[in-house]
Amino acid sequence: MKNSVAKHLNLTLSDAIQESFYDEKSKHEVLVIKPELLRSVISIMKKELFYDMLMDIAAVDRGVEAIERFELIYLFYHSRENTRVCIKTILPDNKFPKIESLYDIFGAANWAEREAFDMMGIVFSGHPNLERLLMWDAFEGHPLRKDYPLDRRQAIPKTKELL
Amino acid sequence: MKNLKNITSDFLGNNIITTRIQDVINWGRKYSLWPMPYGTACCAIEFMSVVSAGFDLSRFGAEVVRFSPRQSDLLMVMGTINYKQAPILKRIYDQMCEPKWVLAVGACASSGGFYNNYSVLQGIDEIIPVDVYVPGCPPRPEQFFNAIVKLQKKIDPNAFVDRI
Repeated sequence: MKNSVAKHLNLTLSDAIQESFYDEKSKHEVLVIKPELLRSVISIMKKELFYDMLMDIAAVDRGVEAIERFELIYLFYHSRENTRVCIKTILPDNKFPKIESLYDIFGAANWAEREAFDMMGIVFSGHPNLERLLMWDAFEGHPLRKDYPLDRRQAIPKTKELL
Repeated sequence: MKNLKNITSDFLGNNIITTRIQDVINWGRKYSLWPMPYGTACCAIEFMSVVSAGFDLSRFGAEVVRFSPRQSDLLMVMGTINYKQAPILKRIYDQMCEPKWVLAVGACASSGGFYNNYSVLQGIDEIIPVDVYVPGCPPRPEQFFNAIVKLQKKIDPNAFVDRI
């Protein structure tokens, strides 16, 4: 059952995969997918392979000097077969990282994408309500980016701003 | 004056003492602090053992824990206060009646602790005045008692002017 997603995608959408391997330690199948084909890969995974849960979305900042700075990691779970898949995608634009939202495929993407937007400033086009999730609205910048100064402090919000 | 003193001691003996009203009030305040716990982290777990029978804060007269700021006069801030929590803490402090005192318990409430980052307030004294700081991560219950005793010394029985 290892690499079953990669085998299936090789038949249907072979040019989407940039890299694929099976991580023995975490028992995850890992796929690196082109960002423009991410949505079609994930809808194939949901409709044809029955991966029914989006566990989490993680965003990675690989440093200011990295050629391709931002990376997104999607974790999927197959509740009947108890298998997990890790989908990685590397975003090409370092200044305005942008990718299509998965909200209409997996409702769980709603808050996960908002968090990635809040912390890393990754814009998800097609998201119904792309606002900050954790920080308050008047907060400037994206605090988990590598170029956010460690000692930067912002104005304390008022109670009304938090409501 | 001397006659009056003789008369009172003749009639009443040692059953009466004379003092100033402010001294009596502050003496009462000292030994009946009503704490309001504002616990956001592990220092609040330590507070549980402070008020429980093992260590017992009631030995210092401060055992009536109130969960309403309007009924308490000692705000004990125990734990990490981040930027979104700060206006809430400020409002709780504003709701307390005078006279009121504040204890910053633990490293986080005193200075931000090891959370030197974008989201954590670097000490609650950025928003509200603090009377006693308690170091430790979390502090031992004995340090809580030390802070209470320090605060009782601060509520000066000889103070003529009320603290407003």
